[in-house]
Amino acid sequence: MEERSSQQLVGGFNRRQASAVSAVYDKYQEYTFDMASTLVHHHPDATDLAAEAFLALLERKERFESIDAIRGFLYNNVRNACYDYLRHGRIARRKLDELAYHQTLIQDDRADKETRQAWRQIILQSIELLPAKTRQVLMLHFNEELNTRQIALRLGMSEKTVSNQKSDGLKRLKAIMQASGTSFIIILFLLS
Amino acid sequence: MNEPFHIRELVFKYNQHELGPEDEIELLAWRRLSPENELYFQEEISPARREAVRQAAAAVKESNYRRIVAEYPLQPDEAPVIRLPRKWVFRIAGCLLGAVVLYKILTFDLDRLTGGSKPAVMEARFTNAQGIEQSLEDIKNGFNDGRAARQRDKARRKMPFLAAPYDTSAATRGFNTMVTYEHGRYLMQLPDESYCWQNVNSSVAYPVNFFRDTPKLRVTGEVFIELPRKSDLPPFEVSTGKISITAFATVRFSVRAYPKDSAVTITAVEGQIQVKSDSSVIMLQPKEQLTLSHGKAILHKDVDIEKVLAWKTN
Repeated sequence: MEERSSQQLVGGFNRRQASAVSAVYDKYQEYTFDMASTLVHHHPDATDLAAEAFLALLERKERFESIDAIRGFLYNNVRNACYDYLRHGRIARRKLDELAYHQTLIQDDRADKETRQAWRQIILQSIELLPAKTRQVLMLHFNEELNTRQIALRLGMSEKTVSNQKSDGLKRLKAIMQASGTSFIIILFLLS
Repeated sequence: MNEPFHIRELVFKYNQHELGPEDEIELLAWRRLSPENELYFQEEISPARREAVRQAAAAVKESNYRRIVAEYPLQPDEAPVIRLPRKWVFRIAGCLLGAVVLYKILTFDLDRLTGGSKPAVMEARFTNAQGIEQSLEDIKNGFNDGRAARQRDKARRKMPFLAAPYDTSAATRGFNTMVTYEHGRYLMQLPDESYCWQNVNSSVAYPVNFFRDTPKLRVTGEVFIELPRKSDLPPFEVSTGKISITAFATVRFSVRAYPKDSAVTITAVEGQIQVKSDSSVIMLQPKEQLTLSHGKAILHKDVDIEKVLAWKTN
């Protein structure tokens, strides 16, 4: 029943009917606002960014297949808009042409990747504590950034096994890191 | 920007419970990188901060919506269409079908199987030359000279049909008589393949040995006669009271002569007919109507044929 009504909602939204649009807005207004304000840390601009995401949603010509597609569109739109906003400021962003826009995104992505290396080290340290097989799989996954198929080929295991090892390893890794994190917070508490 | 953009995204996902297992580990690792990171994270997920975001979102909700709607015109809502699930359409159709079948069973006329003992309103009566009444059903079943095959065609005229019986060996100059009552109209096909529509309360008498004697119909009440489209037939005579009508091939005409009217009306629909009364002989052209009353004859031209023949279709 819920699936049906969400289908009706999407259908109504595709025809841009007032009630459906208003329902979609009710459903995701807080979501987009939360996202924008978490990403840009500035409320007035977060308000604008969230509103612009809804306008972009309405102006999109293609039909949406599901309510998740609508949410996905909003997510990507807010994310990219906030990214541009932080890199270039609102006014600069509007003047950027399409090509420059894509180029900066790629460059920023690379810079982001480099900064990630710092905490990547912590993950690698924790992986050391895992059993040999799981460790091998996660090392290849995080360090060499191989996908499941490539890992399976490298280690001579089936893809199923690799994916099981990986999800199992991720769970253990989380447990290890949370355990050490707790002591970390206690230290933090003692220090303050 | 103190925290990488990617981490802010992960924090948002954390608050929305959308964090994947790998995202989770990445966020955990980042938190462990420095106490500031952990503090930032704790602040971002704190109930007070969540509540502040909720309130800020609620505060701009209305004004933002007005802004969006002002920039993008929306379509008015369509009237809600009530669509039944397919399953229910079949169920309802099944119930209706069942109800119709049940109704048919309950109201089934047993008399039709047992031969009909139900007293019916007398519609018409057929009397032969000896004055003996004959059942119309018997005539229909027992008399078949090939004309019955045409019944299907004539049945479209929605009137009970009778192929008039005759006897070429009859020595007498008797007449068969077909009488209709208050509720009966009948279409009779005469042996020469002419048709005679009889309105209610009318009688038509025709010679038993139709082909030997001059075809002469005695009529009271109202009839409409259609002669066959053949040119080699003898003149066709209809008499009512002291008036006689003579028609030749390809003629359609109606006669209305109810005794209570004290007037006789003759209307030619197609072809010429000759009307002979005590005092005059008149030729009627198509769409002409002659009314004879108390020895006076009135001729109407261009009459409305459909109005005259309305009883035939009703």
